[in-house]
Amino acid sequence: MKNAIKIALAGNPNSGKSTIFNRLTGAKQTVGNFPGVTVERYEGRAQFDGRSISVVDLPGVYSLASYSDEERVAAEFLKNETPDAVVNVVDASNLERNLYLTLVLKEQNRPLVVVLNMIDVARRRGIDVDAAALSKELGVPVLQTVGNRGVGVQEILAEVVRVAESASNAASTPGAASSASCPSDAAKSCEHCGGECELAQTAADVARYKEIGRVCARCVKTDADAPASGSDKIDAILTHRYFGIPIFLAAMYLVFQLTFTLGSYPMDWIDAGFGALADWVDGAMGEGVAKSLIIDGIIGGVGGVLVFLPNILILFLAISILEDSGYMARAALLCDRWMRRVGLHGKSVVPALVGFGCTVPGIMAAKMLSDRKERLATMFVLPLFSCGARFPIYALLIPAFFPLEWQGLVLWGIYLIGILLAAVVAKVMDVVFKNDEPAPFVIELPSYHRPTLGVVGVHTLERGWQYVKKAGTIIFAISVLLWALTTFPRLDAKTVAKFDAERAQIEENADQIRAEAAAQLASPAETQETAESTKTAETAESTKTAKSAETAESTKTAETADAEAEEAEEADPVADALAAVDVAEGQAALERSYAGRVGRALEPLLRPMGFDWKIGTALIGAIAAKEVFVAQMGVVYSVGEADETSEPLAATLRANYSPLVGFCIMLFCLVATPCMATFAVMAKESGSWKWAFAQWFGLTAIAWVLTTLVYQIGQIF
Amino acid sequence: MTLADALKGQKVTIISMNLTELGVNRLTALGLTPGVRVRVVDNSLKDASIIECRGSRLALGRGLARFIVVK
Repeated sequence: MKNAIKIALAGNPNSGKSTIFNRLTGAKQTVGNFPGVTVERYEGRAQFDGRSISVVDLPGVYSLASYSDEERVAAEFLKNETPDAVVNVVDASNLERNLYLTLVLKEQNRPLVVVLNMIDVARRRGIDVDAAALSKELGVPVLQTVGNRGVGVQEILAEVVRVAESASNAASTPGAASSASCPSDAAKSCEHCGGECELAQTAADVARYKEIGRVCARCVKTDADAPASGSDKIDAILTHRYFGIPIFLAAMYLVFQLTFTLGSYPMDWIDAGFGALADWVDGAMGEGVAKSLIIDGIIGGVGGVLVFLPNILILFLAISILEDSGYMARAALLCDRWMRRVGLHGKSVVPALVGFGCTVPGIMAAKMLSDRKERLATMFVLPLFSCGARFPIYALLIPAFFPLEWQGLVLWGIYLIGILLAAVVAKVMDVVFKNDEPAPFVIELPSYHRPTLGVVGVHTLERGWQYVKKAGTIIFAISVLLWALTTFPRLDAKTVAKFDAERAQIEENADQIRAEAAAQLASPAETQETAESTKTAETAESTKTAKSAETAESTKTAETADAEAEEAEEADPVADALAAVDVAEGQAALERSYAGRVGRALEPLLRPMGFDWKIGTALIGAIAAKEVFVAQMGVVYSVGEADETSEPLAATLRANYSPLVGFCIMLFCLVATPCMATFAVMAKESGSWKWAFAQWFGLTAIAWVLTTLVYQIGQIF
Repeated sequence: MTLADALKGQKVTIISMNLTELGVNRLTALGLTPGVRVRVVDNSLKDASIIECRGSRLALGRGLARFIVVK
């Protein structure tokens, strides 16, 4: 008797396999990947009668013929890892098709237990399956369950243990193990190859379906008077020739609305939590490099990424519900027509939609495409579907540069440009890597049913956890690296002393400054003029310190002007002047840092797009994660803690750049430099770093050409 | 005639599938074999046929349906 038993769960997609898996293993699951491919491998443990049973959930497949990664993985698992028993989950309402896999599994000569799932659905449709007769006909134990209510799940474990043990006992008796029957004798009738060639394959299939027909005739009673499944009526609407697409778009709109509106509350809590943590560290630690590392590098970096966790969870929850309910297959069907025009598959629409939330899980979702070329093309264009992390950039820049009545249009335009560009790039890839044989489009449209909360919840949490792990590892490392790039080398003592002297001087002349500011307030038109002239003066300036000081002044003016609009009396010109010195010091420090130097070095490349070195530095930050751009602009203009709602930063940007430049920044951020996490996951999912590099440099090159064109043409008007 | 020409609600029998090996094998695993009865659920979508076969509902691209001979 063995104490540790390994079993595999096999079954068609939509057979309710995942529900059974959850029931068997509870929350004790791990998710990994099958070696070499991107098929997820769920593994869990169950206890029965003192034995520890390890359960592997094989991907949902229709056969083991290795036409897709899923099928290859399932076949290899059964061959190489020799589970003690295989549990074949079968949809009782769809027995005829499901039994095909059962027969294929039987030919694997592993101990097999068939689980008739969803008998309730079958009965409602007037399908009555005689489990005892089925067991007799198939020669394997057959159990009945209603997976989503947990009926009969304990019995599965008992049966599995019994079958596995009797098999291992039988194996110790020489000659007894190979007694399992092989109904596909027809496969061996091909004398030339012994069952390998196409002819034999077809013959084997014909034999299998003949066998299935025989079995079903004896075990299945169908009541012709039973009400037809509601699927016909629902499909008549949801896959309607004209209404289908609008309904789909409306559903997606609802999903995105939910993602952002519901998500905004926990986002605020997380944001506040990290803010409080940073404040606490700020108070608890002395000034120095270590403090800056923890607050700006670690808390700022990781917090800025974790803040999107609620969005991701809600989005995945919604997508899981759409998948589990059966609607996603219909969506793929509806979109296939449009996707195919650019060489993608109908199912590509799912990763694309996920990509609007976050590119990383979107690329991971592309694994549902079985054709490699379609999968690669889908993954390649995925960063062009503007992800949630890019939203803060738009949320900062659009209100900063565009009047209210234009804002919605600009945002819509940016998203649309991404989608159109994705279509163009996919089409080009389709032409370049001409598919000699496009994968045949055929998908199952599962019956609609109410999603099971357990499955949906577990999968959502699992994906959320993967995102958290990403934030904890890759993004943590990159945050620290970027912090170092923007912090070192630090200002020398002489420069620091100079800024300290300036501060001292301001405090000394406090009264005079207040008087001047009061005079300025009296003539706002003049203030505007000063801002203008400061700006022109700034570009003409060449010496470093002078320039910093000038920018500081323009910042100050902009801020003053802004404060003026709200509550003039709240502004304290002395505090402003002091803050301006801080800004100047921050900028001098940044310009001296490695990031600043790289930004400067890249200026010849940035100029044609209308960018200066400061934007360049922030773009370097965006390589880590797109939303870092906002924080980095905040650092560049040292307006303190910056986020997209930060009004001083928006005002500063308005004072320094034209709307055209603002638009160009958004365009460049949309297309260029997929974030580091995307880069890493692309390498992993495509199976080679080559693709990750091709994507990174390819998209960045496209972005450069496009942004340069827009800027240069925009300049003419 | 081919599956692509069948009308909504019509019940047809598959005669042959003039497809590549990949196509035939995929369809076979999903239950489509010569001789099987198929109910056409909807054929009004521009690029796909929705059919029911062996208790499951499938959507097939026009590119496939055009090469499946039925009667």
